Amino acid sequence: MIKQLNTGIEVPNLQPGQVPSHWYNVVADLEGYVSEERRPARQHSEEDLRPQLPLSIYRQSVSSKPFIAIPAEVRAQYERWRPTPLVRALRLEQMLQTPARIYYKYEGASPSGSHKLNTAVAQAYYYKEAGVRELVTATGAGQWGTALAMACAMYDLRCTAFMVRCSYDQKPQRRTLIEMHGGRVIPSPSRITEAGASILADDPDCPGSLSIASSEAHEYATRTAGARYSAGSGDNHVLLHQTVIGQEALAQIRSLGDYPDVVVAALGAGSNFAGIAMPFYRESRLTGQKTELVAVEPRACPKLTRGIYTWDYHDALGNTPMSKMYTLGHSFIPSPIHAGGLRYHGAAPVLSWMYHEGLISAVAYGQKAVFEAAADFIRAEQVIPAPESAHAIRYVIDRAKKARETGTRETILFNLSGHGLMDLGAYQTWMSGQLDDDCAADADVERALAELSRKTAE
Amino acid sequence: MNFESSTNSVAVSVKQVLISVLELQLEVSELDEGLSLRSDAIGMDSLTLLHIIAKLEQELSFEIDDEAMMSAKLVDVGSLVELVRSHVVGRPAGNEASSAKYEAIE
Repeated sequence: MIKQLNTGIEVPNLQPGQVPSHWYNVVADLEGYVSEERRPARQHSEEDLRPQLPLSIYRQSVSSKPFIAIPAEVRAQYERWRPTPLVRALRLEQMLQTPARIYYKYEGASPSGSHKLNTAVAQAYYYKEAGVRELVTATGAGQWGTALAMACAMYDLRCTAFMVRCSYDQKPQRRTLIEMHGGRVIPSPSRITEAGASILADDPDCPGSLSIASSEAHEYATRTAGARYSAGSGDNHVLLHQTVIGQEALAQIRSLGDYPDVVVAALGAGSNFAGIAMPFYRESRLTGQKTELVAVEPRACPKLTRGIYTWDYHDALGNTPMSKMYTLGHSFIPSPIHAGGLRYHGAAPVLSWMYHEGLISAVAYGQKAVFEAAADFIRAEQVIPAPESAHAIRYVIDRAKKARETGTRETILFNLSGHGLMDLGAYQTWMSGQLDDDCAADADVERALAELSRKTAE
Repeated sequence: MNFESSTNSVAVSVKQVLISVLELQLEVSELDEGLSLRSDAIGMDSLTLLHIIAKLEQELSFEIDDEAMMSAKLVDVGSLVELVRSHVVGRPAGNEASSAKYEAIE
């Protein structure tokens, strides 16, 4: 145990040797979920049959085993910064005068500043073993691009990241960080791919989206010798790799004699949410001890709370296979909110299924309310959260206030998925009162879903 | 089982899995090994290819290493049969893994 300096409370200090030895595969515990269910992509070129995934990763993504061993080399990398701290937010509790106990798992402690490094390292390892020489990807706010650039540097791989244009413009230091780690950053949409050029032809001022950047990254990886596409969220193997978060949190909070009534995380496609929540889902099944699992999304991109559960593409142009997911339509372009990592049209297929089955719940907030919550958290805990992570904080504060009103002594655990030290421009905008409060317009959602219906009918 | 019948049984297994996964309205004997994997009749994408390989690995109790799969040049049904055959009938000895063993991936 160690004593937290800011609260004097003893918290569990897991040793590096206590990094999980296995990833947890929630698919093994989802009766009725079919992981291979997919509609093939349309073919466009001779290169289309080149596997974009190492076979080892594919096997992980469709495995029925509940636990998959972490390669020793990957675990050794994890031990550089894991286990990450579980922190009791006592000052926040005191500020809110709540009887609830609030804990957060601080993934901002990783060298890349977020949870993204957990899968970046694993993927770079497997792609290197497969003989790949370059990884190509799409990144929103840049957390994933940073992590992948770092992981590629660890394994002597080149890294190319298509970064959503509005985030590329909003967060110039994030670009610098990716480049300092040896990565190349291309603002998306760009003219170096046919996908990007077609988008710009229709809308020269397009702010971009993760699904557009994905289209570009897929195209670029397909036509570049030695390169393959790497996903930062959504796919089963990515969610799998992130479960080190929840497994550690489970051990840490248990060692304190506590257990969460609710686990909360922001949701873009779902990797940080799955990372912390899925191990608690398993515990609920094994022990009967119920824990609510709450995903928090932005009102600007509310795929769970306002999307539909249907087959959709993973990219903007419909060049990838289709999966069944909660989606706003692959052509939906969210407004340029500062939580760029949450601006993706669809939720991970496995989480979509769980939401459809009522196993997880979801709420949505506008970004002004999110930044207000972040400001409260900063005043109390003196940690700057990433705007993405702050979505979870908004729910946590609201829940803790309700606990105060009802006198509920519950335990709340959330994933602080990344620090916000590269997002101070966003905080400056909020402090100056210039932050727009965006909500996805009904017309935009309807248009994108109509486009999806038209495309799937072809 | 002799080498020739092992080879033939691999070909049959590959075709059976292709027909099953891709829901082809064909008998095994009707699936021509010269048929392109990119043809409309097959309609395969890269993820489906991995799915088929993973299924064959389970059915025929073999494993293809990641580098071999990533560098495989698969054109038609016959090339897929050959890839699987080379790992089932002529299993590589030991675990020697050398990047020089495979052509650089494209």
